[in-house]
Amino acid sequence: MGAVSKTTFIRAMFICGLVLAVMILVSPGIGTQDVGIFDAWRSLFDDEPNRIHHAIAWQLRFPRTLKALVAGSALALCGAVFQTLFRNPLATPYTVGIASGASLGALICYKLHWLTTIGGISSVSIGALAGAIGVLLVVLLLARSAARVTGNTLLLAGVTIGFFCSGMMMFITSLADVSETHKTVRWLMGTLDTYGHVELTMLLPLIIPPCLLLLWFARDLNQYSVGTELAASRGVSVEKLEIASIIAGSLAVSAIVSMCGPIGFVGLIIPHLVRLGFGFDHRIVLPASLLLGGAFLIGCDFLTALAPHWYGQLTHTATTTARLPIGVMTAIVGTPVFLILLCSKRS
Amino acid sequence: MTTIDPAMMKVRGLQFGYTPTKPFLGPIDLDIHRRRILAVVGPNGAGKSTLLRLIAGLIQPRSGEILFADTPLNRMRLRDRARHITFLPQKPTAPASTSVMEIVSLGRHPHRRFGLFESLADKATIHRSMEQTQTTAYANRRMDTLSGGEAQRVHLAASLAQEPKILILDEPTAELDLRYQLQIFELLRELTDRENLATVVVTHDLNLARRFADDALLLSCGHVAAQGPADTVLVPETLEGVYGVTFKTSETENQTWLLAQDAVDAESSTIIDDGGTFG
Repeated sequence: MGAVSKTTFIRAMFICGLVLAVMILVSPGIGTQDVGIFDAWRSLFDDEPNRIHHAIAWQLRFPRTLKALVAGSALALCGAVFQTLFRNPLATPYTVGIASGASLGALICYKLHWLTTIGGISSVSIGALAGAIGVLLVVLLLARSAARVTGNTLLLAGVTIGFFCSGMMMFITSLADVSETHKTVRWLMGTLDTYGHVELTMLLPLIIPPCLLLLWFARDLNQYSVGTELAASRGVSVEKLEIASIIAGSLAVSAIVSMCGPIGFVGLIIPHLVRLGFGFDHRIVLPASLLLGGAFLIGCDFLTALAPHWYGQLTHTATTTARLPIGVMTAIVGTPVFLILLCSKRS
Repeated sequence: MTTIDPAMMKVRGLQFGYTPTKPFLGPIDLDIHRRRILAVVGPNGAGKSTLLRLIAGLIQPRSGEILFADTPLNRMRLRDRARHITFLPQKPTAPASTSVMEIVSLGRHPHRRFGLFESLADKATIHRSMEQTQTTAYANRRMDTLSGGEAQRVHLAASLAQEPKILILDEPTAELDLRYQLQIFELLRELTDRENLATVVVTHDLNLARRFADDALLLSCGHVAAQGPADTVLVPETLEGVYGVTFKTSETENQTWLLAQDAVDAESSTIIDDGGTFG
C-alpha cells in the first residue's frame, strides 16, 4: 500500500477513466427509443439538428447518465471507505443502516409533502440526511454501550437499525393509496427517473465536497487498514478519521438516496472488483472505485432500457418503452458478479 | 566503562486507570536512553502493554507526565510524535494480498504530508530499512506467504522506515519459534547500537531479556516491583515473589540462565507443580 509507482497509478486511472469515458460517450445513443449513438451526436453538432433526436439524446438520456455517474461514483467510493473503516468486506452504506435511515427520512418528507428548498438544498435531501444521521447516532450509542466496540458490533447495530427502518418504510407505504404506493415502491427500488423535485444540481454541494474529503483520506486509510494502533503510532488521528469519514459518507449517500432512492450493490461489488484488479492501496482503490462505480451504474441504466426491449424481441411480444428500476438491474448484474468473485477468491 | 547518554524520554509519576479513583498502573518513574534496550517484564495483566501504549502516546495517563526531549508527549503534534517514536503492537496485521514492500513503505507516512507518491529519499529509506532487517530478498512477496518470523521482520522494517529515535515493541517474539526469537532480539540489539535507538520491549522470555537488554522494569499488578540494570533486576530473588515461581540459575560462558523450578500456590505458598526452563 505504499510503494505504488506513478506508472501503476496512471495505468489504473487510464483504464478506469477509459471505461467511464466510453460509457458516457455512448450513453446518449442508448435507450428505449430508436435513436442511435451517431444520431445522438449528430443532433448535437449538426447545423440543423433533428429536434426529436436532440431532445431524446440530450434532454432525456444524458441527464440520466449524469445522475448515474454521480450516484454510482459516490456509492462505490463510500462503499470502499466503509469496507476499510468497518474492516468488513460486506460493509456498505446500506449494510450499516445509513442508507435505510436516509430512505426513511426522504420517504417521510414525500409522505408529508414537505417538498421545498432550504438554502438551495432540497427538503427531501435534508430529510434523508436527518434520517442517516439519526441512524448513525443510534448505531454509535448502541455500539458504545456494548462492552467492546468493534467493527462487527457497529455492523450488527447498523443491520438491526436498517431492518427497523425498512419496516417503517413498509408501514408508511401501506398507509398510501394505490397510485402513491406504486410511485413509492418504484422509488424504493432505486430509480434514475425524476421523482419529486430533487434535481442533481441541488445535490452536488452535498456530494462533491464529501467525496473529495474521502479521496484526501486515501493515505490515512492505508494506515488504518493495518490496524488502528499502528495507524495512530504513525501520526494518523484515528478517531477524527473515523468520524469525518462516516459523516462525509453519510452526507453523500443521503443526498443520493434523496435523488435516486436506495440503489444497492454498487458500493459492495465495485470496491471488491477494484481491489481484485489493482490491489489494496487506497490511493488507487478510491479514485478507481469512483470512476468504475459511475461506469457500472451507467451500464446498468443501459440495461434497464434494453432488457425489456430484448425480452420483447425474444418472446415476440410488443416491445415496451418502460424501463426497469435501476436497483433491480444492479441486483441482477451484481449478484452473479459478486458470487463469481467469491468463488474465484476461494479457488 | 560505557557512558549512558542523557535520557531521551522521561516518565515521571505516571499513573493510569479507567476510573479516576482507582489507577491500576503506577506510579512509574522511568528514564529511556539512547543505545539501550529496556525490557519490560512481568506476569500477565501486570500492565506492561498499557505502559507501552502510554509512552507511545496512544493513550493518555491519568496523572504524571511523559517528556520526550523535555517536551510533554501530549503537547506534541501526532505527526511530530510519529517521527520520533514508533510502536509495534503485539500482533500487527496486514491485508492478505499486500506485498512486503507495500507494508514497509507505510512507515514513511509521518514524513510525507503532501504528495501522493514516495519521494526518492523515501524510497532510499525504505530500501535501507529492508536491508537492515534482511527483508530485501522477499520485497515482492505477499504478506500471507511469509512465516511468522519473516512477517515480524517486515513490520520491524516498517517501523525503522519511520526513522524513529525510540522503538517500542510489544512482545515482538510472541508465537515465534526459538530461532526467530533469537534472530529478532539479535536484530534489536544490533539496531539499537548501530542506529542510536532507544528500544523498549515487552517480553515474557526472561533469559532473552537478561541476555540482550541493558535495563529491565519488572511490573507486578500495575506496580514497579524492581527496575534497574537487567542483570540486577532479573534475578531469582526479585522474580520469585512476582511470578510465584521458584527459580534456579545456571552459569555458562559469561551468561546466567534462569530456570523456572516450581510454581508456588499464591494462597498457601506451597509448591504445586514442576516447571521447566522459563520462556
